[in-house]
This record gives sequence, structure tokens and C-alpha cells, in this order.
Amino acid sequence: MNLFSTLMLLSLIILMLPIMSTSNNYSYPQYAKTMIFYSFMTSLPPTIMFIQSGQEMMISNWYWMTIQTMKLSLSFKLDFFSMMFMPVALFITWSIMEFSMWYMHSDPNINRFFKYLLMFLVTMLILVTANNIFQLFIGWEGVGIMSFLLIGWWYGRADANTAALQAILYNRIGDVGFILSMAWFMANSNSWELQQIFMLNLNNNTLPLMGLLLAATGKSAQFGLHPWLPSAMEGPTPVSALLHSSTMVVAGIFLLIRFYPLMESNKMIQSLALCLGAITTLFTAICALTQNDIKKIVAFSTSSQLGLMMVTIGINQPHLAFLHICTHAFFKAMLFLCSGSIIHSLGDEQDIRKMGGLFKSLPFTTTALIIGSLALTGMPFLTGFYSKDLIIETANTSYMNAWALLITLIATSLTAVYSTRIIFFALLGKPRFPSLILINENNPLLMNPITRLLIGSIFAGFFISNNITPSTVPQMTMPLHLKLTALFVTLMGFAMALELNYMTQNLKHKHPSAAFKFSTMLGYFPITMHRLNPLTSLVMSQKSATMLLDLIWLENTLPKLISKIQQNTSVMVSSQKGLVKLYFLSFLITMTTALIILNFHV
Amino acid sequence: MNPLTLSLVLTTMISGTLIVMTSSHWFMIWVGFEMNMLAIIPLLTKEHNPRSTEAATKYFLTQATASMLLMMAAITNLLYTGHWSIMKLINPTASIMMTMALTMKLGLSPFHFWVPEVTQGIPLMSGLILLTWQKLAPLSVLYMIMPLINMNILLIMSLMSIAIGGWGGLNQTQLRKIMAYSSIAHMGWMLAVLAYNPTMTLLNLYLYIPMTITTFMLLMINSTTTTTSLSHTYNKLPLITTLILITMLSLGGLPPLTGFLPKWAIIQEMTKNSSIIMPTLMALLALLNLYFYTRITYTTSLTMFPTANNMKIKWQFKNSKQTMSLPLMITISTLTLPLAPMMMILD
Amino acid sequence: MAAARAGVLGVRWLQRAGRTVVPLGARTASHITKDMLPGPYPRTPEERAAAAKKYNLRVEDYEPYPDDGMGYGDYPKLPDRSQHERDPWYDWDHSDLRLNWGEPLHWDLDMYITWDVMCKHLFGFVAFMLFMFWVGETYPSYQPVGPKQYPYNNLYLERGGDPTKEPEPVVHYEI
Repeated sequence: MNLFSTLMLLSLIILMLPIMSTSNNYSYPQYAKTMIFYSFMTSLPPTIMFIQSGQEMMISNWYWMTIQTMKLSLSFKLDFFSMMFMPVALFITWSIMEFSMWYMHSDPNINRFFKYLLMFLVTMLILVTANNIFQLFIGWEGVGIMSFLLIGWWYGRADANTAALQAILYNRIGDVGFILSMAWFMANSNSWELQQIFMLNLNNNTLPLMGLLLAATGKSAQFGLHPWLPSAMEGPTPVSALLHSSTMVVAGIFLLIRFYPLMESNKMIQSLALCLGAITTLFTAICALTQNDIKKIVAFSTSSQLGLMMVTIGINQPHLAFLHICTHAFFKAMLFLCSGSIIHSLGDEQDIRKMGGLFKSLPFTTTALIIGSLALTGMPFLTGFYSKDLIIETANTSYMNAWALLITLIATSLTAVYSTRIIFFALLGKPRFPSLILINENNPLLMNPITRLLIGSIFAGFFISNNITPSTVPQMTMPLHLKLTALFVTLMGFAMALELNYMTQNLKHKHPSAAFKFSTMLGYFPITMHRLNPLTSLVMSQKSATMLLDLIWLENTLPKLISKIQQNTSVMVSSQKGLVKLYFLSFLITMTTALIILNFHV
Repeated sequence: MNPLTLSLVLTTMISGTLIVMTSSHWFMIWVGFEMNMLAIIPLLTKEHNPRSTEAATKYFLTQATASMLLMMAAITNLLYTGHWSIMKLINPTASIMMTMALTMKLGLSPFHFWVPEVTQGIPLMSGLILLTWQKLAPLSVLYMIMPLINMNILLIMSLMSIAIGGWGGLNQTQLRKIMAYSSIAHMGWMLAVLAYNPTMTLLNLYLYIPMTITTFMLLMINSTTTTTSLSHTYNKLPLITTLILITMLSLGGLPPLTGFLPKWAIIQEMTKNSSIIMPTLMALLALLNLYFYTRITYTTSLTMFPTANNMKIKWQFKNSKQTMSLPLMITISTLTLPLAPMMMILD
Repeated sequence: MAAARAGVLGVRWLQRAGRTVVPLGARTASHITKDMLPGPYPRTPEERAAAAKKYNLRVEDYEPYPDDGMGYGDYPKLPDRSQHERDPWYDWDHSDLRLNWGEPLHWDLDMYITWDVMCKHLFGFVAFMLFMFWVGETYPSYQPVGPKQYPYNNLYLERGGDPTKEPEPVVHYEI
């Protein structure tokens, strides 16, 4: 018995301390940050032990209740995924916390903000370490509600409130899928324990997997349920950083990774995930191309990367997707911190058209931003390379949907395009911001986290991919052109973007083209869907309430029909007079008929 | 009409009916019917105008046909059994023909066409006799031969009568026609229960006759024959409007009034005999009747029809019509529901 | 007696006053007052001129919506162009709306471009993607990852090699 589980639980418990303590203290942010640092340090030894021995573990330490034959207990699964994810998440949150101390220092409720961030992290860790779906669901919903609170942090602004509501509502759609799967598993496998579900490996599991896919679509902002993610930029920058790097949005992907033993054998779900991921990565990359808000571009790049992760799951490489989650977290957090630094320095200016020339005034941030962008595009031997290149490579050599592969490659090249755009507009060239701005980057609270993440963005990929146990056999041989595809498309993207940026810097079209509008307006998706759905449902409700129910059912089928029938019959019966011959004929007919029928039949 | 003639005619008519009711010989019954019919013709043509004549002709044609049919049924039965007795009507053909003849005399659907037309053509007093007294003879014969009647044909005819009584009345503004259709519907109710419990038929008849008499008497006070003129009743005799209202609702069979009793009893009787669909249909179709009765009460007492008359109240002359029995009739035709327990002896 | 009479008079006065006084802050629930709503549809040239003046438009620019009972009244029918298509570098009074002070808003300001065009583009995009996914599923991509390898010295004889010569031995593996 070693200290594996003890240290892991300790790491979680340390995080609980700042949440439980009162937060009216002046030094609370410092305290919270330090606690996360301790927690990070505590989580390192078990991770190293895990890497060394590859020993998975499960802690089941609190029996909760039994509903008939269903046992619910609090249990933690300390396997490859949670063991690798925890230090990464803690490291990144530590940096973001420190950054928030600088970014949010003038906020009157900074203590509560830190508490929210902490709870956000804790719920994410619950989600990651959960060993049964119920516990996972607690983490899942906790992440959802905390994201709502954090996105709506500046609740005085209508946009922030709308964005928060959007986030929670889109996530509710995803939760429908999650709850559907929970119900299905409860009904069919009689357990919510992951091991049992995987062991039974029930057939016909398309329905619950569809539910999980829907849940992941909502949480990870895949195409169809994606509009909340760019809107979530209304929150403070540290929130965006945390939300987009190591928590919340990767939860959906993580859920699918957790359930990979089931997905492995279901080709249909894989195809769906592949197509969904491919369309997300392309669509959001297209949207990112024309945005002018620096945070929005970074947000869309997150969305695009999430699409890439979904593609990876679609080609049945969950471990690769997980690797991408871990590496992506570093440079994405750093990109957000850098944009936070820029925004803060320029007096809350987010428009990249009003920046420019920052490489002189903010050299450190510029360095970090460029390295982060390069890592994002998969520049060799930076962090992104180790996962992204591998993903593209695997996709290239897999038996997969040709179109999905093609648009994934296009999206990869677009990654380079919008990264170039940020670098080009925000960092290079001449300043386009008002001159009287106090730009500085000398605060250690700003420098240290970025430095740490910078080191992480350069080396983390190497460390992680070198140290994890290989789970699937990588493709050993491939032609040179397949190997170089990822690099080639990225370089092409860079070159094209640079040329285009130079060309269009001073050129303004009188009327934007249709494609440009499509990209600027986020593919018209939010406008169309946010209007079409309520419209359809309102119109349908109106139709069914007033037309179907009131007019047709309550008015026409019963009262009007009856009165019409009575009127017509009444006229038919009594609108004749004096036709004595016909009357007698009718008497005769009646009598004959009656005699024939009744006399010979009855 | 000469009082001597009138009394002769009335005596003949009454004795005709009485002969029918007391005979057990088909021939005598036929004789009674013929006497009754021939005697009533002068009554129908009391007013010497073409409409009464036409109505009397129609009546004569129908009733004569019915009498002949009755005779033929009796003879058919005689050929088959050798009996003139009305208790021995065992030939089915004869039985059916007899039923037809009697329902024709009663004016049941589909032999109902003559009823509204004849009633519309004759004076109110004659109409009153036609719709009340004239029903006695055929009903008494039906009552007597009840066990020998084909039940299906009776039920079909009565249901049709109820339906046609309702539908026909919906389309009318003429009060006499409405009363005729009301009579058709009531006859339907009576014959529907005949097969199950003939005493209920009698109960219905006993209550139908006072109600009809009351209605006709109320109409006779002002010689009202149309809905429009009925709507002027308020100007002349405000009290009558109330009475018409309550009598009409009683005819329609609304609960606290007399008219409810026969319907209640009949529906209960039929339900007791496991007939569910039939009373349901009858009750539903009775709503049609209720509807046009209610419409009459509405026009009488609840609205003012657009007329040239601007006066809200006219000068009220002393009424010269003899309405001696009206209070009694109104009481009988509206307030006898509490006597329902007493009716249980009919069971 | 006099006091009672005075009391009655006072009560009556209060009732009268209560009927005439309107609460100061009274307003409609929608916050739309009568003069914020569009006026009646202009029929004569004079009315048109007045309406154009009301909306800060020239008479030749002013064109009301058709009077089809939709409640537009005299509101001007502005060109169906988005605010985003306007010059972003011009010094607008409301730079966020790209609008000058007193300039009328388009009735459907929130409609960027026409609704059906937006729907067509979006659903066209999605439909195209779905179709191409189907095509991609039908013809999947499966790249060869290495040259094909055959036995018998890479099928030396079968490929028409000279049987008299001894071929170079081909080994696909390494131990």
C-alpha cells in the first residue's frame, strides 16, 4: 500500500479548504491560489507513480444509498485519464488564478470570484475522477452552473446575462442527452458504475451513446449547440481562459473518452462523431476568420480544436483526443492570458483593428502570444505538435470519411490563417490605438503565470507524450507526403494569410461578399436558430391552440357540425307541402318494405 | 255552425271513439273509426275556406286509407284464423298491417306527413281535438293488441317519429305546425315504451293531453298562430307570456315540470329492460324538441321582435274568450311532477 | 349638524378630486406612449410632406409602408440594407448602430440581410456538408502506408524477370 490514493484524495481535500473558509479576508485570493498550488504539488507524486507503475486504482469510500437493486456510492476512478488530467488542470488553474489576482484586482467581489473559480475547478475534477455516472453528472451540472455564474459575472451588462443564459440553456439541451443515457443505463445495465457498464457491454447501445454524443455536443459546443461558446466571451478573461482550456468545454469530449469502451464497437456513433467534429472544426474556423474581437477569435479557435478532438474520437483514437485536451489546455490558457494582458493594457480594447505594433510595447506578451499561436497551429516541437500532428497523421492513415478528412485539413490550415491574423493585426505593424495608454507588463502576477504556461506550451507536449504509456499502436510507416500533410497545410495557411493580410490591410470593399457576411455573422446560425425555433414553436402553438383546438375541434367538429346537420335535416324533413300522392307512395313503400322485411325475416 | 249540428257531430265523434275503445270485434272497431272520422270532417271545415277544405280532404284520404288497411288486416287475419276478435291477431302480416293502419291514424313517421299539413289548415279548436281526442282510439287499440305487435317495427317507427318531430319543428314559425310536430314526437315516445310497459304509454298520453290542451288554450286566447304574433303577447296579456314559457318548458320535459315525468319514467322503464342505446338516442333527439320550445319561450318572453308597434303595453281589453278551465289545465300540465310517486302504481 | 354637513361636502370634494387626478407616473406597461407610435397613413401630399418632416427625411426619400393593416402607419419604408453595410469609418453619432442622431431606424433593424437569404445560406451550408459527408462515407479515404510487399523476391518471376539470372533477395523485415 503506497500513498497513491491518499495523496490524490488529499489533493482534492486541499481544494475544499478555501471553498469552506470564509472569504471576507483581504488575502483570500492569495490563499486560494496557494492552495491550488499545494494541491498541484500534492497531485504530482501520484501521477509520477502512475507513470512509473501504470497502476490504475479506484477509491470507493462512501456508501450512499441503495435504490432497490441499484447501489449508489461515492467513488473515484484514478485511471490514466484522471491521473493525467488532474495535474494539468491544477497547473493551469493555478496560473489562471494568479493571473486573475492581477486582472481582477479592482473588482469589489474578487473573493467571491475566486471562490467561484475554485468551485468551477472542483466540479471539473469531480467530473474527471468520477467512477459512476451519477457522480459524473454532479460534476457535469456543477460545471454548467458555475459557468453560468462566471460568464454572467458582470451581471450589470445585458450581454453578459444573455451569454450566461445562452450557455446554461444550450447546456440543458445537452443534459437531455445525458439524462437519457443515465436512464437507459439504469434500466438496462442496472448500474451506474462505469466498470459494470463496460463489463456488460450491452448490445444496441446506440441510443445511450447518441445521448452521450448530444451531451458532449452541448458541453463541448459542437456544431448545432455551439453559439454559447463565442458568447461566453462576455465573461471576464480569466473565466474564458479557464472555461476554454482545462474545464467545461473539454468535459464533453472527456465524457466520450470515458465511454470509449462502448464507442469502440459502435461504428455508427463513430461516424456521427466524426462528421460532427469535422463540421464543427470547419464551421468555427470559418467563423474565426473574420472576427475582429481578439477573444472571439481565440474562442472560435477553441471551438475548432474541440471539433478536432471530436474528429479524433470519431476515428476511434480516444487516447489521442485526451492527449490533445492536455496539450491544448496549456497554450489555450496562455493565449487567453495574453489577450487579457493586451486588453487590460489597452484599456479594455478588444478589437484587433485598434491594436497593432504591440511587439514593441508588450514584448513579453507578444512572445507568449506568438509561441501560443504557433503551438496552436502545430509548429513542430512545440506542445501542439505532439498531439495535433499525431491526430492529422492518424486521420490520414485511417480508413475514414474522405470529406471529413478533407475539411479537417482545411480547418487545420484555417487555424494558421486566423492565428496569423491575430499576430499580424494585434502585434505587428504600426500602433492604431490612442497614444495615452499606460501599457506595462511588469507585474509578477501577470508575468509569472504566462511564463509558466509559456514553458508548458513549449515543453508540456514533449513531456506528456514521452511519459504516458502508449495505449494504441501508432502507425509506424507512412509515405512522406502523409507525414508532412499537417505541416504543409499549416504552412500554406500561414503563407496565404500573410499575403492576404498584406493585400487587404488598406483595402476596404464597399460591400462585403456573401461569403464574408456568412463568416462575420457566424454562419447566420445564432440569428436563424434563435429566431426560427421560437417562431416555429410559437406559430405551431398558436395554430394548434387556436386553429386545431378552438376552431376545428371545439368549434367546427362539434357545435358547428351539429347545428349544420340539424339545419339541413330539418329543411330536408319539413320543406314540402301538399304532395299527397307522394305521401301515399311513401306509405306504400314503407308498408311493402316492412311487410317484406319483417314478415319474412323475423 | 248550428249548435244542433255541432252537438250531433260531437256526439257522433265521441261515440265513435268510445265504440272503438269498448269493442273487441274488428268490425266494430272499424265502424267506430269510420264514425269518428266522418264526424270530425265537419269540425275540420268549421271555417268555410279552401284551406280547411284542403286539410279536411287530406285528413279524409289518410284516415280512409288507414281504415281500409285496418279492414284488410282484419280480413287477412280472419282468413288465417277465422276470428274477428282483436285478441287473436296472430297472423304476422295482419299484425304488421294493423300496426301500419293504426300508426297511420296516429300520425307516426313515416306516415306523419298529413299531421302538420292538416293541423295548419284548420282552426285552433279543431286542431286541439285532432291532436288530443283523435289519438285516443288508435292508441287504445294498440294498447289492446300490444302483445301481438312486432316490436322492431314499432321501435323503428317511434324513433323516426321522435327524430322527425324534432327536426320538423326546428324549421317552423307556424305554431300549429310546431304543435303538430310536437305531437309526432310525443307519439314516438308513447309507442317506444308500448312494447315494454303499455301503462307508461297511457301515463304519457294522460300528461300529453293536458299539456297540449293548455298550449292550445293559451294560443286561443289571442288566436295566435305564428311566432311573430306570439311575440306581441306581452303587449296585451303579460301574464300569458309567463304561462306560455312554463308550459313550453313542460312540453319540452324540463325537470321540475310535469313534462319531465313521462320522459323520466319512459327512459327508466327502457333502461330497466336493458335497452340503453334507444333511450339515449331518444333523449338526445328530445333536445331538438326542447330547442324549438325554448325558442318559442325566447320569442315570447325574452325578446322584443322588431315590429311597427312602438307601444310597450297596449290597452288591455277584457277578454271575451271562455278560459274557465285554463287554471286547472296549467296546474296539471306544469305542477304534477310531485305526484310521481303516485304514478308508481302504473308500474 | 353643521359639522356633519361639512363632512359630507368634504367627502364629495374628495370623490370629485379623486376622479379627476391622474397619478403622476402613470404610463403604459409597454412604455410606448401615444406619440411614440407611428401616425396614421398619409394620404394627401401635404400629409406625406408632414410625415417626411417628422421622420427627418426628404419628401422624395419618404415612402411609407403599404397601408395593409399591419400597423406600420406612416412609418417610412427604408431600403432593406443592414447597418453593417454602412461606412465604419464615418463619424456616426451612434457608432455602434452606424446611425446619425434623428435618423429613422429601419422597421426591422434586427434583420441583417433578408431572412430567407440567411436561412438559405445556413441550411444550404448544412445540407451541402451532409451531402458531402454521405459522399465521403461512400468513398472513404484509405491511404496506403507503405509499398505493397509480395513473396518470392517481390514476385520476381511473375513480373517477367529473367529466370536465368539470380534475383537480388528482397527482405521486408529486419531482425
